[in-house]
Amino acid sequence: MTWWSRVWRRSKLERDLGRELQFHIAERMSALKSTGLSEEEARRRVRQEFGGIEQVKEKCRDARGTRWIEDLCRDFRLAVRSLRRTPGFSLLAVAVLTLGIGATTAMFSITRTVLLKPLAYRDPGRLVTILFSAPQFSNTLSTIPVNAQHYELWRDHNRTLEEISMIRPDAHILSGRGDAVQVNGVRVSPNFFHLLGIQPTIGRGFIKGEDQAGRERVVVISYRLWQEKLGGRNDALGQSLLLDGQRYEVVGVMPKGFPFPRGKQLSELEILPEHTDYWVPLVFSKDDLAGPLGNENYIAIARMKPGVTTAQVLADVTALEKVISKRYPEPLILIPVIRSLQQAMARDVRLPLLVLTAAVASVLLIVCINLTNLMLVRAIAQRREWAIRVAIGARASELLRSAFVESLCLSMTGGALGCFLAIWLVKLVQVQAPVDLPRINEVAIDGPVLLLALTLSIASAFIFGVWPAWRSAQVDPQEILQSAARTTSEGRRGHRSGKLLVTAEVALSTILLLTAGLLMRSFAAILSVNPGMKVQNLLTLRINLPPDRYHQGKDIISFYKRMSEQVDALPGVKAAGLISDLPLTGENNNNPAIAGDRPAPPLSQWQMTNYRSANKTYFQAAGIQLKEGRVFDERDGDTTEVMISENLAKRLWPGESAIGKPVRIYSNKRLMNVVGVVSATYAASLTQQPTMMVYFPDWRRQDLNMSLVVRTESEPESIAAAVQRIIRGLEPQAAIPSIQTMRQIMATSLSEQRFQVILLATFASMAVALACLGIYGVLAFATSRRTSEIGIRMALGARPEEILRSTLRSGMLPVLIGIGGGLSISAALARIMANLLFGVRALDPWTYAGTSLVLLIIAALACLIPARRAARLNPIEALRNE
Amino acid sequence: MTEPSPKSDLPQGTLDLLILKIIAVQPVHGYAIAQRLQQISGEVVQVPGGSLYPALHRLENRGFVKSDWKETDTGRDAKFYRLTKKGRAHLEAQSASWRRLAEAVGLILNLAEEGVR
Repeated sequence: MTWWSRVWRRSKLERDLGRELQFHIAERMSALKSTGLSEEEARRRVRQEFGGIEQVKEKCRDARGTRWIEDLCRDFRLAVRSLRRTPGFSLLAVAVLTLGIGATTAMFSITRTVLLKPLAYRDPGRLVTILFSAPQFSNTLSTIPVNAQHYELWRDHNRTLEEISMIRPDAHILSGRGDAVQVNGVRVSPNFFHLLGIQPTIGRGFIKGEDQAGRERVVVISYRLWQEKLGGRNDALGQSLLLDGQRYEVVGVMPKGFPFPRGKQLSELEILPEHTDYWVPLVFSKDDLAGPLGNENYIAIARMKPGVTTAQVLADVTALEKVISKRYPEPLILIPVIRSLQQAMARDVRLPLLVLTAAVASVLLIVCINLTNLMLVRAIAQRREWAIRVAIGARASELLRSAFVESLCLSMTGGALGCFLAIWLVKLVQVQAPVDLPRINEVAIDGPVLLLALTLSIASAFIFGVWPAWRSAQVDPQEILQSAARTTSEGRRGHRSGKLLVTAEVALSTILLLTAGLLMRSFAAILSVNPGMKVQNLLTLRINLPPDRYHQGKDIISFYKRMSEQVDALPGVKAAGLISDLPLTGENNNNPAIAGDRPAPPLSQWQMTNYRSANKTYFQAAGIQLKEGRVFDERDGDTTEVMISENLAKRLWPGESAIGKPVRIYSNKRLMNVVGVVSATYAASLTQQPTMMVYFPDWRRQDLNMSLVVRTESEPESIAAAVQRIIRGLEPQAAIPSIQTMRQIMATSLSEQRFQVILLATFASMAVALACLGIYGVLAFATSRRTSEIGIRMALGARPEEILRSTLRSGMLPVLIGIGGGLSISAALARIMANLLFGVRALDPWTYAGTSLVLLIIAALACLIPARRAARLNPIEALRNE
Repeated sequence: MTEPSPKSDLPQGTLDLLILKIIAVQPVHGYAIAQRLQQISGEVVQVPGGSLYPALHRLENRGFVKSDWKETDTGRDAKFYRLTKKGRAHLEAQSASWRRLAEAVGLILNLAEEGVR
């Protein structure tokens, strides 16, 4: 019989044991009786020979080797019974444990997936991205993408890479299958799928030579696009998709849930689609291959040779950079940056996630500390019961075990419920998470996570159970059973332990509250940034025109002109304008620029600028203030006119007016003429510096894709439908990939910060509430145990104020120590926090003072209730109470 | 009425060996084991229930014996123990080592007596 079935079939074993021993005794009895002994005499002899039947049974049970399990089961039954006698306590304990373990488990599963879980590619540890950092642009851009000539150099001359591939975000209008829509995808080198080690589930990846002009009209589509636009049918292969009016043959469908980087995960400039729906072969243009500099528009992904480290790749690529930099037309320093793909995908979220995980773990720790206190209280209430158990022979180790089992019961229940909570929380986060939290959809409550929940449960039980259990097991039955009533006041030791717990709790809460406070101040600082435009009542629509129908610039201009006229005429519209890229949606076109009326410095000293094209009404519609000069004048049609942002004007011509000055833009041969200066806006994020911006008139650069901004008199969303009708009426094939108010765009750009603030504020308030309960619990209990002592004191002449003061003093002392400790620890961690903050110092005195004050007030309130109760005691009743 | 003769203390593990040996002859129940041990040893080995049954259960847990409920000659249900393959191997190994030890002890004791003489 196996060990397990011995436990399982305990009752059958017990029955068999009884029968077996009975048989023995009966046989022996009849044997003895047959020799002539009387019934009585035989029974006596059997008893003498055989021993007590219960003792024999006990020994047999020991021999089964499952004794400890049986004892544990019995302890569990006892624990459940004892916990059910105090339902209030048990429910509270399970509830806080569920919260603590659930939140920690959820947070851990997210952090693990995002930071630690290997990417679902072949041998993902060998995948790296290659980017550049350029010291002269490092104040605005931490990395810049790479270009075609570098790629070819690396591909042909590296010693450390197995394969290298290029990626560039891409978007097309898909027509001919329902409404024209914009689909987002990427252009990749043909070896891309081989490099990742994942092939399409249906069909094939790209083959060699498909990056040659003429053979590049093939497309691999995502599972999503296959389902939505091709009905998920197997005959999708060989069909054609009309992308921007060009026929592409579908050659493959990627597996469902194929993990692909999104947003700014790989590069802050080449922003990848939220959902990548297609892959097409990358064909370098003549421009791309024109020189060793320029067209830095690509992300390089490479697979390292086995056994090679990123440091070796860096050395390799750096050596090659020395070769190619000799051919640069300008002296420019580009430093290769090698990141593991895993690291790259989690770079920006690493610190926030670690901070949040630490925060939630602290909450769990506070939960445990609170429970320790409650268990201590409970242990004292149960002293008599324990004393009796000791008196009738229970060993200390047995008592320790049963006390611990009680804690285990609570924590395991809390842990099990916590798993359900964690599943729900993860779902919530997946819906609410900011765009760039990588691989969030891969987060799942799986084996390792459940194991963690179990570990947390057991660890919690250890933290809050062992100390009280140990104290319980040390009861001296004589002392307790002899003293008819409660002792007059608690021993010194019990008092000190309560204070220690309060100190720890308050310290942890201080750290959490302070962190949350700093993040909130930082968030408020971001919100108070002047965006340089009027955000209210501004509707934005992105419009993509199909390139096959708009070959000529004048067609595009005429479309947008007619559209603007019709939109202007709509009731409730104050102004409408056009811009190639909306503020706060990302930096797309970067180019170095310099004052054209001065000798050109080396390229390294040029100012990196962002350029967009706008029509003349854009600035008024968007509420971007004209500071100097004028807006574009349509009548002159001058293609050298530009408008620039105020900060760029100050940078290029400090102390002078920029109007009428020439500006040289690196990629342009001709000098541009500054006609107007407008207030600065933010291209990507309010947390960065205002962007140095150059606006070209829209008649100079005819963009198929523009954003329409509409300033309305009231609720901007109310006219969205009317504007859409106008666009569709003018061009049924136009795609409108997004309709958002400027407010929504701003909210999206802050979603990551908001996410952090909300989570941390939640954790901090949980922590403070728990700490408050803890302080109150410890003090209320201490006071109630001192009732008779207070009675005596008052009988001897102590006044209520003195009692109040002494109770408050003993309650607040550990709080003060805790706050001090918490502040010191936070100050020590300030350097880490500084990386998460914007516009507020990590040692911000206001936040420090505010946190201390809030905690002091809350703690004082928690102390005051028991203290007042103590002061109001009637001495006679207090003494009679015994 | 005479008191049972004083039991001689069995060395550690010897009881298991003796029980296995009895069971090896044929499947047998606990009471019979006690009887046989007493008979064969000439009343020297007397095993109280508090030693016999825990030993049997221990042997069963270790997989040396198996048990079935069967009817005895007198028509009552009893738990019969029989030796497993593993039990037989264990018995053989243990008997051999016991014999070697007994022989060795005997040799030493003889030597000591000669020395005294």
